[in-house]
Amino acid sequence: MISRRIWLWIGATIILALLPPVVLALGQPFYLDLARRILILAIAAVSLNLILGYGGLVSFGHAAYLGIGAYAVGILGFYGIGNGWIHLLVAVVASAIVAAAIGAVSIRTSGIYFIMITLAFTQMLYYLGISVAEFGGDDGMRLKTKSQFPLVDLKDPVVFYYVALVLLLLSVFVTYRIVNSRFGMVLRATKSNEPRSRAIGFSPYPYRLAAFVISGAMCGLSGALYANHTNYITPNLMSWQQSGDLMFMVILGGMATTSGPVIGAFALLLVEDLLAGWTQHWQVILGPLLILSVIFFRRGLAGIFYNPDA
Amino acid sequence: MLEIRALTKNFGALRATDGVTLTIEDGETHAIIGPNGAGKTTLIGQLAGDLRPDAGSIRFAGEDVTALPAPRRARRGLARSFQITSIYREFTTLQNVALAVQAASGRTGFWRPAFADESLLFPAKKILEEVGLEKRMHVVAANLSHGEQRQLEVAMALATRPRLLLLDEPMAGMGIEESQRMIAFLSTLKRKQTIILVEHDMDAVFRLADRISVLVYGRVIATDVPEKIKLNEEVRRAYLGEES
Repeated sequence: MISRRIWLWIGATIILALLPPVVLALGQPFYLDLARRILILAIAAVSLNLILGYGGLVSFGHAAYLGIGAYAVGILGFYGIGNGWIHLLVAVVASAIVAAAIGAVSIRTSGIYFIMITLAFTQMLYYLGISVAEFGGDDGMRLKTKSQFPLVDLKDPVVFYYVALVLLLLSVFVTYRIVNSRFGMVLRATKSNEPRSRAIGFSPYPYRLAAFVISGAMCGLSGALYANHTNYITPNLMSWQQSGDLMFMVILGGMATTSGPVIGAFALLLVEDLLAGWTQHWQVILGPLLILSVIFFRRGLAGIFYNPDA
Repeated sequence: MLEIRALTKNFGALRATDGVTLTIEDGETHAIIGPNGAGKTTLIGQLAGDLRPDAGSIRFAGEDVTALPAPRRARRGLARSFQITSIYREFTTLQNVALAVQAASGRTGFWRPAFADESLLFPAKKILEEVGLEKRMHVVAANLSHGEQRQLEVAMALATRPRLLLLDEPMAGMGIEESQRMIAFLSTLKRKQTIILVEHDMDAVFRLADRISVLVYGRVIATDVPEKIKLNEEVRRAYLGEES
């Protein structure tokens, strides 16, 4: 028997898959662009959910990997390397290495120190991006070429949309498998009760570090796609506001839920877009809305679909 | 099994553990009693590896474990239960025990779902049958009664298949009937398990213990079989007398 959640996923996938022909028929290609941006950032939110939601590690610097992934594509293109597989490989591996270094230090701390140290590392990368004039510094750099793949052309907006959709579904599935594996159980259990985990023989550190690296690598993939999406990379991608946005997607959508970060990404970015079209001071409205939603949806927006009998 | 030598722990000016020397024999149930504030929980903390002693040594199964952190002691077969219930509250009873089984297995994985892994679930279910929680295995642990949570606490320690079991007041907060059931369970368990039992319930201690150590102001003032402890003048004055 197929469960209710699987049906919901199938339904959502069909709607997302039908979106390009519908918006193009309506003559609204802008919405294709917006939806693709959401799908790409949703991958980043899914990756953050692994450590924030399931691991209880409040990383306030996740935009770092978005930036590393994006700059990997930009810099490789700058030196004339257009092969998409190399772009993705470098984006993911570089993000994983940086996540390993940042995680190795920050996971030794906890609570507010962890939040601050992850923020501090990302600010360092942000200022690094600003200071390297060769890659545009503060102004950012234009992508020379999009990542090139055989058969798949990212220059076609519809094709790129489907690539983003497939990669998002893949990241959701991979994360789902990880959090329900033996490894994921330890990660979640240790968030629930660390002294108990230590008492039965789990050392939390390696589990958390591994989750941190996986999460960073997945976010790097999102960054590589994002560079292709915007064609333009600026250090702002690594700003603390961007890290905060990712956190909000996860918290708004529902921490430690499968669909939460995806729902959160859609909700945040759609509302943002709606309000921005309405008034210049949209953040004044968005802020209270976010606070209200956190108060009233205790499991996040994904809690609406939560079935306590399941 | 366990050799404690001149163990000392200070909190500021307070000497919570004062030169404790104690040997736990293979297969015995060794109770540690003492008035409130005698340093029982501090001693357990040092044995489990949560507290680092200021001086002295702990040898477990022939190996010096004084500097080993708690998870590594647990993997060597030293399991504990907590005085204040410490379980995974949002996980089911079965998941709680399955995690302990997994910890002892030492194997991990990133892909296969743990909730369908019979090599974890089968041993976990057997432990739950032993402690009498099998009918409650799919209940979220937060929704168990206090007594059931205490049983789960012990079940998780047992599921790691320990060589030495540290029980820190397993009967804490239990009703009379629940206590009796726990005592009955521990009296079957003690035949195949080395146990250190910290307990306030004197009835339980005298029924279960092979030997008793009396801790007062961080010092062991007597270690003997229950009959002798009952008759020991110093113990009566320092501890048992307080109750009458």
